[in-house]
Amino acid sequence: MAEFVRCQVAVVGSGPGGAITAATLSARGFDVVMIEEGPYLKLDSCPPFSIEEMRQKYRCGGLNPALGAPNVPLVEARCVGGGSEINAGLYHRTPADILQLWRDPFKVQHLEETDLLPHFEACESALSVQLNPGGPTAPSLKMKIGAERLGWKTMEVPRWYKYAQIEAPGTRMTGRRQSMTETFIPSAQSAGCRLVPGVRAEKLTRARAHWRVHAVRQAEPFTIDADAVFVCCGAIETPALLRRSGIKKNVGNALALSPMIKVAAVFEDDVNGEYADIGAQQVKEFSPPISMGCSISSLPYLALATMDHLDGGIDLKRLWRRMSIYYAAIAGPNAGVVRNVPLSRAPLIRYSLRAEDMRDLATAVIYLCRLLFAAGATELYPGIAGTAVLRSEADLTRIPSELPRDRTNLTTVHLFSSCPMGQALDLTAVDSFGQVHGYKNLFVNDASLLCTAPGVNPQGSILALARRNALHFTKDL
Amino acid sequence: MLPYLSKTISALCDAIAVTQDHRAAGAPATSYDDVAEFVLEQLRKMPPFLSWPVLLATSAFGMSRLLLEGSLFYKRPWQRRYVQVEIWRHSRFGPCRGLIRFYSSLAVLALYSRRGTGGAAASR
Repeated sequence: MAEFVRCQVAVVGSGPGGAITAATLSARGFDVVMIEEGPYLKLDSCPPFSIEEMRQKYRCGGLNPALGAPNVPLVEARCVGGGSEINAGLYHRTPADILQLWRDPFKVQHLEETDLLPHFEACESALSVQLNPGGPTAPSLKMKIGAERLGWKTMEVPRWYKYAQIEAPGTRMTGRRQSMTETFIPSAQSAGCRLVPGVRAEKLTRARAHWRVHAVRQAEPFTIDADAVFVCCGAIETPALLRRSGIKKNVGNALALSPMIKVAAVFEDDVNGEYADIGAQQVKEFSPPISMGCSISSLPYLALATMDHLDGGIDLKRLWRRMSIYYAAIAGPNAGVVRNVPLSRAPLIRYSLRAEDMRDLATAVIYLCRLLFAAGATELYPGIAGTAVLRSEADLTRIPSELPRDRTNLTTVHLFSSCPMGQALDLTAVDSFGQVHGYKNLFVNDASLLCTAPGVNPQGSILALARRNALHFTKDL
Repeated sequence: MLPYLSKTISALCDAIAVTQDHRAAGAPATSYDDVAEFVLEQLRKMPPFLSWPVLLATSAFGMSRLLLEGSLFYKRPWQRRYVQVEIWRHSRFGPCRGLIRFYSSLAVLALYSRRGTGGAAASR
């Protein structure tokens, strides 16, 4: 049966950008309806980083890579809470040099560190952003030791996590990771926001003084008339929706991502176990553009990381407790495009890495291998198909100075910049507060806004900017 | 999906899983139906502009060496399936390698996610 809803503000998408927008506006008395294409699932509806999570929460099952040479597999969520439901919850504020870059040449106004500070603080309080009181995990400790031996700058990154009390020194920390379904979505609902999962927005049109969201729920039309619309579907689906609606200027033309290459390391002592947690240690010595950190190291991921080294005959059965996976990433260029394709609900994503990016990635993986050897690794398995197992620093000469496009296995979880913000009309799709240029009361409020790759985990930046923009909309900034 | 394609994909997943299973803890399995089921499920979720080329390449894979072997891939005994997977895995032609890598990634994820494989269940 066709449904029709009238409201003041429609929020399309319930990831970090959408959730904080809905919570902020509802709390200030706005009549808000938030729609989400995916289902409403609890944070613990499936084990984290599992194939069950792929089944339940990943868009396209995780199989819509950015096409290029090489292809870059990417992960997007399709559920209430969006990416916050499937990530590790690592948190950074936007670095000062990145804010400077966004102020010029993109000409983003009101983007000093002091402008964002209250928004960072509000998000950090709501999400319980903190360091692990139990100290670094075993994989983190290896990274820390390696960096310190080389004299490289390293830091533990805080996470949005509610830790339980420590019972005794050295005990495994327990607690609960935070996400949008744990924080801003319940806040929005208790302030009166109507959340409707299972609704896909197909198109936006202007109807006299209001916006109309043409959506579909279970193959039936679902229409929303709203005074204002916030599009918060993420860096891929937001430009796709705007382009389907005929809004194309600087939309989906400058997608940025952080391509990462992984290295599986074998140590002499145990670093992995049944309850292995993701490490929060990162190395920022070469940032930007290069950053390094710990990755998910469960057995399926170890098998995947070492798959191309099958000829090396790694015995995972015997070794997995002594193994952990690390990543080296670069802040990739704004070189991607997002385009709709006839007969397909999913858009086509293209992303081209330049020769200099492949050289940066080669440098990044060499740095990471050096660090892991310094930390005591005995064997390394870099994500370059056909590469022999590395057993000492001398073996690093086998890594080419420019990674081969046909054998390099990249991945990414961070996507941004498909609708960059700012007052520079030639570069940006929306203004400094997210309003689409030339379209009154139509806003973008998610990772698409970020002018470039931020070089750090982006969710702190997304949340702070989205809160800032929502408050600006209410003139309560 | 055509029965020919699902049988080819199941046989391909079987061949990949058998070669990988020695690395997992626990006794090798006798059936990999769950692995094939996961791969088929994920394929159905792919955007059509990506799944069609994959299925086309899979179809070619299933019929290649037909004249030499006298049978389709899924009808051959395990050892001969293994040989063909290895030929495509090490092919000089990138799309052949890419196809095997695509199926191997999914099959390996499913195989090592089985209960009792002794692996770490990552915590949040």
